[in-house]
Amino acid sequence: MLIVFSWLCEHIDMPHGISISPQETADMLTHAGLEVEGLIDVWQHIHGVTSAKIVDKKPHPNSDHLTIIHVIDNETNEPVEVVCGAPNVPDIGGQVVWAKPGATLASDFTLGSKKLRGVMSAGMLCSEKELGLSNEHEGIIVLEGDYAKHPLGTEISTIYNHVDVVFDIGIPANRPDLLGHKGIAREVIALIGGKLKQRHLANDGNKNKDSNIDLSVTDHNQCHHYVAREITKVTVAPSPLWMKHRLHAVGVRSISNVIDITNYVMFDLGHPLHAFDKDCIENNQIIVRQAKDGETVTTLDSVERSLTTNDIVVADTTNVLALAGVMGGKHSQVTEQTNHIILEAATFEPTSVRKTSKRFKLSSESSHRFERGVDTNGINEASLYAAQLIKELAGGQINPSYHEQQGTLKPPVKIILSPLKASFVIGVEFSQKQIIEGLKFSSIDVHCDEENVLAICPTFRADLTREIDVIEEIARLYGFYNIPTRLYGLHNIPSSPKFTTTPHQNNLATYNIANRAREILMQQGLSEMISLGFTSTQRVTDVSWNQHNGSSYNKTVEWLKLENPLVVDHEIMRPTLIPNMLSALVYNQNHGNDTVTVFEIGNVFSVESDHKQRLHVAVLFSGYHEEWTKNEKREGIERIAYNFWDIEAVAKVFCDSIGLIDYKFTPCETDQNTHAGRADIDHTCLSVLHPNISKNIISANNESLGFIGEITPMVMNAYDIDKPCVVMELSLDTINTDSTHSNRSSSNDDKTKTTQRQMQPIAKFPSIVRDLSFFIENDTSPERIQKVLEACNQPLLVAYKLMEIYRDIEHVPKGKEGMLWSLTYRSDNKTLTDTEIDAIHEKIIDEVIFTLKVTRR
Amino acid sequence: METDSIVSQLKTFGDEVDHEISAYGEALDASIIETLRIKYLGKKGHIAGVMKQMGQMTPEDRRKTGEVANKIKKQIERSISNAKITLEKLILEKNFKRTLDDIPSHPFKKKQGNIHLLSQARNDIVHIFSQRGFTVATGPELENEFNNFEALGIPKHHPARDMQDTFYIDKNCLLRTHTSPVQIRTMLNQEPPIRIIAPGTVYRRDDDPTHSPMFMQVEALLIEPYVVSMADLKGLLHHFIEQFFQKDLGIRFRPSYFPFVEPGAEVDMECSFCSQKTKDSCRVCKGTRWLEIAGCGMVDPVVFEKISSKRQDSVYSSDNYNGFAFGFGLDRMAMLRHGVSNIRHLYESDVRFLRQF
Repeated sequence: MLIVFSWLCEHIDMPHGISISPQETADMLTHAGLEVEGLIDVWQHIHGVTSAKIVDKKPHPNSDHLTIIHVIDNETNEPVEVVCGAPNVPDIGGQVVWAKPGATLASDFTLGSKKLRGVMSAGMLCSEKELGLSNEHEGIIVLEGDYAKHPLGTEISTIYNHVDVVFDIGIPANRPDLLGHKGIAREVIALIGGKLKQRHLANDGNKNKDSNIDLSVTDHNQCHHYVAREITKVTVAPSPLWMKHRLHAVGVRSISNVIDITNYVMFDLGHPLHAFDKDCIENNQIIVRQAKDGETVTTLDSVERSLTTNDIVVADTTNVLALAGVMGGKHSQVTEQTNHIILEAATFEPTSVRKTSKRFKLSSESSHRFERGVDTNGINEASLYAAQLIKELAGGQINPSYHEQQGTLKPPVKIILSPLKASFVIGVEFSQKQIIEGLKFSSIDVHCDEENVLAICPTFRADLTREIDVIEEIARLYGFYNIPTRLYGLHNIPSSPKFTTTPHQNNLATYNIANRAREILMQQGLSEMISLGFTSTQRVTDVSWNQHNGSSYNKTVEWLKLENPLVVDHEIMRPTLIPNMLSALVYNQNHGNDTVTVFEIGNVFSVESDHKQRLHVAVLFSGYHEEWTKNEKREGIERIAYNFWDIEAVAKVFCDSIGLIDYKFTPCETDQNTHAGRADIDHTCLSVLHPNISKNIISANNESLGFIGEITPMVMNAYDIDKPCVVMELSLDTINTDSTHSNRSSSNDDKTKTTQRQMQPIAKFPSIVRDLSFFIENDTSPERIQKVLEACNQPLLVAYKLMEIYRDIEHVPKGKEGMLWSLTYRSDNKTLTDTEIDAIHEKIIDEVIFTLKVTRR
Repeated sequence: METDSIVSQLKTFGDEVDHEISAYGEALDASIIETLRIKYLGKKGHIAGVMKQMGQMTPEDRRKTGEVANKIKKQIERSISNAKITLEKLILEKNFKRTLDDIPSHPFKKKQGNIHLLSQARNDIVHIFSQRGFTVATGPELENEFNNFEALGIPKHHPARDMQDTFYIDKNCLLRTHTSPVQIRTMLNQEPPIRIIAPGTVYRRDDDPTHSPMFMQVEALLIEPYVVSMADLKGLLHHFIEQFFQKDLGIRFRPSYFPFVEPGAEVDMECSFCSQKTKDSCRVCKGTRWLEIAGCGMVDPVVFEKISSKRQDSVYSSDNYNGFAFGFGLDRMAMLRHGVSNIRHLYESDVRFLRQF
């Protein structure tokens, strides 16, 4: 809301001896909750621009549109020559606004003398636009009437003192009374004292007598009050300068005197008004009613709008004249040809105005005020003041009888207020007397009521309905900055507050497991990233398995879609963390970051009601370890790229550290259509993994917890990823609720304790190590051996480790590689003897040879 | 005849050992000493060899030779043990001669991981408030109209909704626009007293360059049977700012309107960037020396009314309980504390940014 300081001051009878500067006013309002977000002095950069008189004028010899003018002001002894291109240069004796050499028009613009088509011009004559007073740039300013009565050489800021400093004030949504200069004036008075200046308004005439207008309001719930006033024989013309300038300052385009006046009064009193061309109203009938379905109206912005029964309109017998409270209709608008007008002052139901305005995406100064609530008791003042201004500025006669339809008027609200309560809430002790004193200049009428205070709140303060509202008012006027600072709870921490149930299922457990996950992954050298919760349909389709019809899997996935996304790229709530991480990888690739090792912990979404929001964790590796290695073949040193084993290692550390027991990695099924490994956690249905280089992570009771693997080539192409990358994604919510989670061992109730492992006794007896060495087909996955060793099911075999793989040397047959494993045996009950171990070890060797068809070395 | 030569041979052994040891000098090591020991004193060593021949001697010679042999044996043992002592000294000296240049550097370096700036800030905040008895509460990002708006005194078609442009999934499902619904969920599910701190992700349909459509907020709610006031709220927030920024920064309240608190206030803190500099040079606070950081206020009775009618009881009554609530942007706090100029850095996932914190 823009407020002009001089306009504001016109409403205030300052207390004796007090004057406040615009800056002081702004600070004061800000601290009272009306944040002054901007303060612009219209004249701040305009200096040396003064009134001057024309003493001679002649055409420019080298131009057909320039004029050479001689001006004088109080400082010039002789006429000074100025060249001007305006079509409206007044005759000799006329006064103009002269920016002399040395004058400034903007912070970085100082005028000098300049040759125009061979003639030297000392400064220039100014138009309104050049001074920022309006958009008028066709002609220069000509000072006439009162404006010409100042001595020559008077600064323009003094001549046009009706505009000075403009405040941009943020008005809270519950204070519609502040959407006009008068309302702000009330605030200033409440803060510093003084009183409102009363305008003398003519008698409001006779109500509903001479019935040349037929006014009917069909529903007083939708239109609380309607006043129609007839003004005849008006002359529609441009507005006076002061009004134009003020409207320009508050951001309104000047149109004509009648229309400008309705706007001016709105910005003055906060009450929207509308003027109809009476000759366009059929049968002198004004009907305020619900619109009919299919009815249309073309509004002032020349847009035809089709209406529904939810809209309130002002109509005559045949046409819709206006969209009530939002915008007038083109058909009945006031034009230069208008003779007679009907001035509307009304209050409409905030909700219906808001609905209509929202539906048409049509927000006007008028709808902005009606939505917030306009005081019905202010209607007559607004109507009368506007009528009076029209009479003064556009001529015309006010029909002494006006037409009014009204519902029940709201009486002022009476509130009993306890000083004790006020003191408790604010934290400052207030007596009855102090409260009454504090509200003395506010618009609230206060009286003593035994120990309490009786507050009578005016109807324009719709925000004051309860005791607490008045307490806030007391605090506001007392000054929030005066409230002391006490550290709460220093002496008063309640004995451990009881939190019986948690507001969101597992909420603290979720918070804790996320933090635990964060720590584990950070310790693995990964960096946490956070991406937006949205993604695009394309991005999810690229990684999902339901992209092909006729899939052998019947399951189709529906993603959680936004009804009103900001951009198409953000239309889906991510069902998995992978797409945004891949996008982040691409972003980094494009910015020259070739190694990306990141993790993200965040919610993913699906339409399944049980899984609407699930907490996931995901890891992505791409690029290189910081280590370097000798490359035997190429006899150089090279970087080691991240691969599947890195993600597997992290997955293992993660699962162990988070407290999972008996989880396993199983190969992924291959999707026939996409040739990708399938992964399905929390209904994500992903086809993002390489079919062979991928694994599902399965809990002890066979629930799918997550997956690890290399990104499949199709997805790499779709995302434009140029380097191999491996990922892991796990559902933390599934882990949290999974019964095999080791923290369930003790108590089921306390879900907040993560990973409470129970101590295992430390081995008392020594272990014995034996080697296992054999030749096997080249490129055999160590996992195959691992599997056989596991299958032997030897309780005394407590650990095994791949020590070495070698090939291309003596003794190793062609096409084979040598493998050396180290097997550790131990018993918890005794020290094992060599004989015992040898027997078991031989059995295991036989098993390996038999199952894998290897040659013992 | 033999006896004499044997004795003199024995005597030369003693000298030989000392010669050999000193001949090695610094090259002496444990295995050399062991070899020497075996050579002279071992089962098949020189001394043992001599002793073997003694069988054929007369008792007189045998005694004489035996005495010499034992004496020489002891001498050699002494020489060997001296050599060991010398060796230990040598080893120690050598060890102390090692410098960093002698330590081979291997390429396996530990990599530092990073917790996101926002997570760090959130954990700090939770920690500060948990010391004052606040417990973490969370809520879902998908919310309903009641929790996100109505229970907070923002009915449909209320102008206050303009402040928060909302993403909708459908009529009754939206992306929460603030963490305030966690207040509601908490009160619906538990009885007072309450002290919760609720960090979380929120969404607003904002597309200007200084806003992100997703960002993070922290909400706190306190409900007590004891009297709590605006002064207490101010104190707690001041304490928090001090702890979080580790600086003595002042705060101030300005009246403001949030439908679910009354009196409601906007919280400004002293600019952490320009405290030492001149007034005009600060781009963060634009020379005002104050930064707007939070909204707060005393819980509005309307919230208790909504909660009571939903709970169908009157546990939450303004007569028995009072309290306050506040909320602030986690992003802004983290950005101010760490000098991050653009919110986009937080969500862009550039590893050059992530690796800094």
